[in-house]
This record gives sequence, C-alpha cells and structure tokens, in this order.
Amino acid sequence: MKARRIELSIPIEAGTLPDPEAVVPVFHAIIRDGSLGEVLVDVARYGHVKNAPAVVLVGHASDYVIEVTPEGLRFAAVRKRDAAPDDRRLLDVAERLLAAAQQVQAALPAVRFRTDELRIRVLDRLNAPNTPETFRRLSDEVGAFARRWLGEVTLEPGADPSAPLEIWIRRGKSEPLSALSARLARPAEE
Amino acid sequence: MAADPSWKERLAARTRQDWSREIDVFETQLELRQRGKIEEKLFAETRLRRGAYGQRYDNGHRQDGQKAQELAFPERPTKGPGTVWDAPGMMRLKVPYGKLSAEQLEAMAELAEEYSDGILHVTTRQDVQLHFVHIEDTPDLMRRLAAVGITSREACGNSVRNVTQCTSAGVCSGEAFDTTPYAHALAFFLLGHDDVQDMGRKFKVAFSGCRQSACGLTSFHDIGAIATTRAVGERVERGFQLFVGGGLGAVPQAAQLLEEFTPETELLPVSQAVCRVFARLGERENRQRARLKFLVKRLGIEEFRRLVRDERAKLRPDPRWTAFLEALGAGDERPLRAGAPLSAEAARAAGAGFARWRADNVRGQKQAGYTTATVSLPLGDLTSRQARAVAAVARLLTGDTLRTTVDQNLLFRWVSEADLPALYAALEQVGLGDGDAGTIADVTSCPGTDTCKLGISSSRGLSAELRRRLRVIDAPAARELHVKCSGCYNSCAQHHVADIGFLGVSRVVNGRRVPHFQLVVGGQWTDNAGAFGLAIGAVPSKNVPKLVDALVARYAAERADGDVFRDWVQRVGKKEIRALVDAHAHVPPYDVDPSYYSDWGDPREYTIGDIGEGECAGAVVSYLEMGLAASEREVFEAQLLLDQGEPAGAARRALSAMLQAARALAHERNPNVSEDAAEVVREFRVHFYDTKLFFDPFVGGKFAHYLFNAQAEPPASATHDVAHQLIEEAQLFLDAAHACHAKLVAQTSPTAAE
Repeated sequence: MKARRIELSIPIEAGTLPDPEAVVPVFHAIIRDGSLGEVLVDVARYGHVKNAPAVVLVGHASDYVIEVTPEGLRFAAVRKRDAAPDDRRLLDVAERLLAAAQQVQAALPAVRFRTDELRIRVLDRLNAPNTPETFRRLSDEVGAFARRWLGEVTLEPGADPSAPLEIWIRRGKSEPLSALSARLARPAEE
Repeated sequence: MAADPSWKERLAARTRQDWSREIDVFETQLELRQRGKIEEKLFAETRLRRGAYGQRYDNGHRQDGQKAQELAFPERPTKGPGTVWDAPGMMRLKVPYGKLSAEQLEAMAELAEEYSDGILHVTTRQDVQLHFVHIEDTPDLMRRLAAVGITSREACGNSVRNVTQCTSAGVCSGEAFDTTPYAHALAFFLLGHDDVQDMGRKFKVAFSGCRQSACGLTSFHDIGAIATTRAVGERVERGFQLFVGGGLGAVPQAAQLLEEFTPETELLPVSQAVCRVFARLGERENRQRARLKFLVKRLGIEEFRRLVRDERAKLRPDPRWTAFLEALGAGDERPLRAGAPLSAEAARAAGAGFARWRADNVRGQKQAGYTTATVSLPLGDLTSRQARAVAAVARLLTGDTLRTTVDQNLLFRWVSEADLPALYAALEQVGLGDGDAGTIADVTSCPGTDTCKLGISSSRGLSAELRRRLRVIDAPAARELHVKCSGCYNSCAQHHVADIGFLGVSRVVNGRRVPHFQLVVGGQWTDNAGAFGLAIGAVPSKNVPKLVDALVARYAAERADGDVFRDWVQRVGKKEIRALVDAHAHVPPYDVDPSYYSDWGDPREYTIGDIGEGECAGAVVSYLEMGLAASEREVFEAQLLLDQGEPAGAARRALSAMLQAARALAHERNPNVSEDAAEVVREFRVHFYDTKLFFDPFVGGKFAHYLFNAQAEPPASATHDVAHQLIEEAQLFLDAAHACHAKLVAQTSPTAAE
C-alpha cells in the first residue's frame, strides 16, 4: 500500500478498561524499558477532550493510541515514518499493533481486546483520498492481506466522507491476540 | 511510469506565488542543512521564523523517573543547537486576529491527522499549534496551509508574532469602531517586512476596540492599539491610543502611552517606526533583557517617543500605509442567515443543557437578532473530527466568521438567535456542548511540561484537574473568576492577569524534588489587563486544588457587594492570603504519600532534568547572517536549475544570489537600502568597494566585479557555460562576502571574530 501513514486499530472489550488513564504508566514503562524495540518519545494525554485519542504513546516512527469513540474504546497503532516497503506495510503495522497490545494486556491483565472488527485508516489524502474509487483500489490489497491473516472477512468503507479513508474489516469471531500474532508470523505462502 | 503525486504540484494553482516560493526556499534550506551547508544556529532561526518550534525531549534525552535515558534517534545533523533532527517538534500556525474560515479549519484538521496526533491546540495568542510534527513534513504542511490562505511565517523566532485582537471586534456595542481592517492591514504589512527582520527578540501587537473591557489585553503588548475617535469640525476622525513596551514574562510591565491619538493614516508608519527603533537599539546580547519593554524602560518613554518620531520622519513613503483605508468596509463580515429572535418556547424545548450553555457561552451582538457563541475547548484542545464538525456548522449557519480566542476557545459570530438550538445540538453531538465559557472552570493553560522545553511543572495536568473540580461551583461571584496556569515564570498562560494565577516552580523537600506552583493574585483581566498580580507563595502541585477551593470559599463568603476578587484580596491583605498558602504548603514524607513527588498526570518521579534550552526566541542571528544564508541557498538553487537544464534561470538565480549578499552587506551601512538591483549595487559599491572593505588580500576587488559585470549585463538568455561560470562567480562573491562579514565583526568585537 502506498501511503505515508497507516493506522490499524481494534476495539477494547467494554468494561475491561474503565479508565483509559490507567494506560499512562504502562506507556511510560514501555518507553523506559525500550520493550517495543523502537524509539518512543513521550506520552500525550487528552482525557479532557471528549471522543479523542485519550492517551498517545508518541514515537519517532510509530504512535500507539487509546482512542475514545462514541462506540467505545479502541487501541491503535499508527505507522508514520520509516515505513516498510509498500507490499509489507499492512503486515508491519499489524505486527506493531499486536506487540503493543500484548504489552498493555500483560501490564493490565483485565484488559481484553476484540479482534472481530479491525479498522484501517489511511492518513494520507495525497496518495489515498477518501473516495469510493480509492476504497475499491485498496480493498483488493487489504482484503487479500486480511483473508490470509484472519480468514473470512468482509470489508466496508467508513461512513464519513470528510474523514481519512477508512476500511473496516469485520469477521465472525474474536480470537486472542496470541493466535493472531502466531498466524501473522507464519510466511504468507503457508 | 508516472511520478508520485506531490502537494507542491497539486496545490500550485491555488497558492499565492510569493508564499509558494517562500516554502520552496524553506525546503531548500532543509536540504542544505542536511548536507551541512547551513550552520545549525542559522537553520534554527530560519525554521523558527517558519513556525517550526522545538519540543520537550528534542535534545535526545528523557528522564524516566529514575535516570536520564538517551532516545536513539537516527544519526543526522541537528536542526538547531542541541536539537535532534528527528525529534518531533511543534508547528505554530499563525491566525491573524484569530479569524478562521471553515475551509481553513478543515485544512488544519487534516494536517493534525496526517502530520500530528489528531489534536489541534488553540493558544493564548489566537494561534493554532500542532505537536509531534517531523521537520521533514513541514514544507508540505505549509503548502497545504498556504493553499487556504494561512502562513506560519514569523510565528516564532525574533519576529512580529501573531497580531491579536478582541474577538468581538465589529459586533461589540462598546467599541469605538471595528478594528478588524486595521489589525489585518498591520499584520500583513509587517509580515516579512524588511524592517522587522533584524530584531533582537520577539514582538507582539494587539488591538482593542475599547478601553474598558479585557478582550484586547493591550497592556502587555509591545504595541497595544486601542480604537478611539476625535471630532475634527463636523467630521469624526478615527485613530488609536497607542501603547508600547508592555510585556508579561518573568517581570511584567504595563505598556506606556506613546501617542494619545495616532490617526488611522499613521497607524502603519508609526508602528513601522517603533519596530525600527527596537531593531536598532534593542538589546542583542542578553536575550533575557531584549524585549521592547526593557528598551522603553532604559530610555524612558519621552526619549523613546522622540526617537520614534524622528524615525517616522525619515521613513520612505509607502502606499500600503493608507491603501487599505480606501477599502474599509469591503471585508466586513456579512451574516449568512437572517437574524431572528429565539422564542421562549423553542428555548425551553432545547432543554436544560442548552439553557446552561446559552447562559455561559452566548452573548448578544450589537446587530439585532445576532449573537456570538463560544465553543468551550478544554485546555484549548479539539480533535480533527470536532474541528470538521465546527467547520460544517459554520458553513451551514454563520459562514466564515469563526475566531480563535485568547482564552483558548473558538467563537462563532453572526449566529441568528433562532439558530442557537441547532448550533448547540451540532456541538453537543461531537462533545463540544460544554458551557462554562469565561467562568472559573474555563481554565487557561500553557503547554507546560507536556511539550514545552521550559516547563517546570505540569500546568496542563493541573488545569485539567482544576477544570474537572471547578465545574460544580455555582455561586455567581465565584463562577466569574479567571484561573490561569503557566508551567514556568514565562507567563504564556498570562497568569499575571488572572484572578487566581499559578506558575510552575520546583522545590526540594525531604531531599527530593517536588513540583510546586506559585500562587499569583491581584491581577486584573478587565481594562485591557489593567493590573498585574504578585506571587504570594508556593504550594505543592497536589495541594493546588485544595488551595483554590479555600480561596474561592473565603471569597464567596467574605466579599462585599460590588467586590471583584482583586478588591477582596486587597481588603483581606496579602498576609491573610499567605496564611492560606502556608496552610497548604506541607509535603508529607515520600514513604507516607509518594504521590506528592510526581506531577499531575505523570506517574514518573518528578524531576527538572528534562528542562531544555528555550526556543521562545532563537539565538540572535543578524540580518547580515540571514542574508548570506539566503544567498547561499540561491547559489545552490542555481546549481539545481542548471542540472535541470535551465541555464537561463540558473544564471538569473546566480545573479540574484550575489545581489542578496551585496544587499545584506549594504544594509549594515544603510538600513534603508531597497531591493532595487541598481540601488543595491550602488550602495554596495560606495560602502564596500570604494572603501576596499570587500577586497580580498590577494586579488583586491576582483570578486566585486563579478557582481558589477553581471548587473551591467543581466543574463537574459545564458547558455550552459555562461550560467556555469556565473554560478562559480556567485560562489566566490559569496565567500568574499563571508570574509567581509568577519572583518565587520572584528571591527566591532575583536574577540568574537577569533
């Protein structure tokens, strides 16, 4: 996928993270310990803003976000620099999302992530304007990647034409992060 | 295969050519810095003047609560002294007098999503800031802004910052007249003006439509202009009470009256003269004393006034001084919808939330049937999605009448009263339906330790906590108080003019650092920030909310009829207030309550180890140094043009590079030298060739002749070889200009040149 910035997110199961601020010390610890193996800089807090990226772990090449939406909390990874080659970008952001989510879960065992509804946001209006044509163009690549990784899925565009292009990936089941991680690690040919 | 699309190509037709060129120039400077062709100090001032500011941890180090750790950014050149290239920074978007169109707000929302973290932050100077922006993204970010009529030029650095204005200008019943066209004219007259490129420190301008209200805050500006009129026979003449030399910072100083009545025709030239006096005589070595307020204090207002008048008399006439007056009224805002009253029945039907929001956030305009409506932004923040929703409402109900406010909110103007329920419903739907505008819960905060390199304590963490607690206060007198929190003494949150102000400090208690805030009381928000408060004493950050509760409770209980907070403070006396502070000053031992040893919202053990070198103003880089850097860049661009097979353009650029360097030198001797090529060469010849100052010890005036020859026969249609030779000559001329610069420095400061 040709895009400067790609975000992949999954929902956080309702009620398992009552206060998004609980993630703040976890993010600080990730920076301190270098446990994601990349340059991470700071933790930004926007809990005072409604329906916002409430807590952001800001990095040089990636950000990790607890996002409050009207439908509930989501956890996102944003790949913003030093991206992998075009044909590996989705894989790259997915790997980072799962790695960070697993660290959050290890630190806060009550937190549960759902993997039945993934959302890709392409934060690059130059290469991927939010149009039906772009959605169609990217659906092939996203669909192929998602089916290889997750099995049977459906893809839908986001509802807001003024927002960045969104592709919603829906599947019939939610599996543990570890299962998704294991499948992602296998070569694509398998 | 088609080339990748670029914002430059896509937006070319929609962008002013001069702004487009400026951004291209900046992009070239980025490239030159990466190649080590521009020194870091110069590049830092260059990027600051384009609004690209440093941010906390950009020195590549971060305290984790126990120790400092290195942030392993890729190895690259720095982007300023002690500033790592890849460290994220802040981008300040200038919004002259706060006026925003729906299209502009939408563009900013997109930029926040694609280059920042999805949050737009409104500042106390009516700017918008984006944080965590990579320096290499800034040219495209600037292009996308320029395409909707916004420039970040001179948003930071030693320059004229955003011109601010009362947000009610044009709709306020108390104003002498609408100052908007004057603020607009002055903002764009000074933007990039030659006379403001060589100032030793930043320079701030504010407009107010009246004397008595707070809105313009003219008392703490370098130039504060208050609208006034006088009768001249049958005619009413417009003008301004002009104040100069105000400022906050560590030691606030009230602006002094420069002229009781500056006619509207003189507003621009007198302001220009003030800038020139400041540029010429302002402090340049010690930046702690370099603001205009120190110069006015040192000279005395009488002498400063005399100097300004002398300077004014010497100015070359400029048609822009009065051209805007011929079009007064042409740019006035017009309502999108007819003004209509809101019926009591419709107001009731809109619900209790609407009633509360309306009471706090809505004010009548002088135009019947219309109101302003404030969008309360907690700590000045809104998301991209919210920004798009605000823009959509503006398109539907008000047109392009939005304003950013100095208390970090947004304001709709020209709202038909009948549309208020629809406006509220739309805001409520995206989480922007809070009331509390202008109340005690509408806490103002600077970025503090969240992102600012100078932050000592977490002003945003504290402000978020105060905002949450203070929303429940309902005593009317207490609700009217203003609370402002700065993370250090620099007063970016304007704590000196709050009823209850705080500034971040640190204290060592029980052998450990503990974040504290100094309480500042006695400030006055009204009367254009009529009085500055004084610090009373410090309390630990975690005790500030309790101290505020105690202050507010006593004020509500003890105030006399008609008292404002400042009256009450004066009546009870600072000693009493100090006793309240002392009662909240205790810090328990670490093992009893370690929470005191961390700041609001930050679980790390508190330290001041992350405080860095401020970029509030860059190092003083002289006009000459900037000119030589620009010349350097033009020589490089000439090479690129030649490589692209455009020898004629390359030759023209090479000549332009020599003229640029010659003009920078000539400016040292004659600050009035224009951009006219013949005049530049003439002045250069008189001051640097005839005096032999430009001469090389071995070849004498040879390099100067490169300029003279090229100027005598401008290269209209050069061949590749001619252009190549001219570029080489331009490089030699530039090297000679650098050598000449060193001689000039040695003349004034023999040790500095060593």
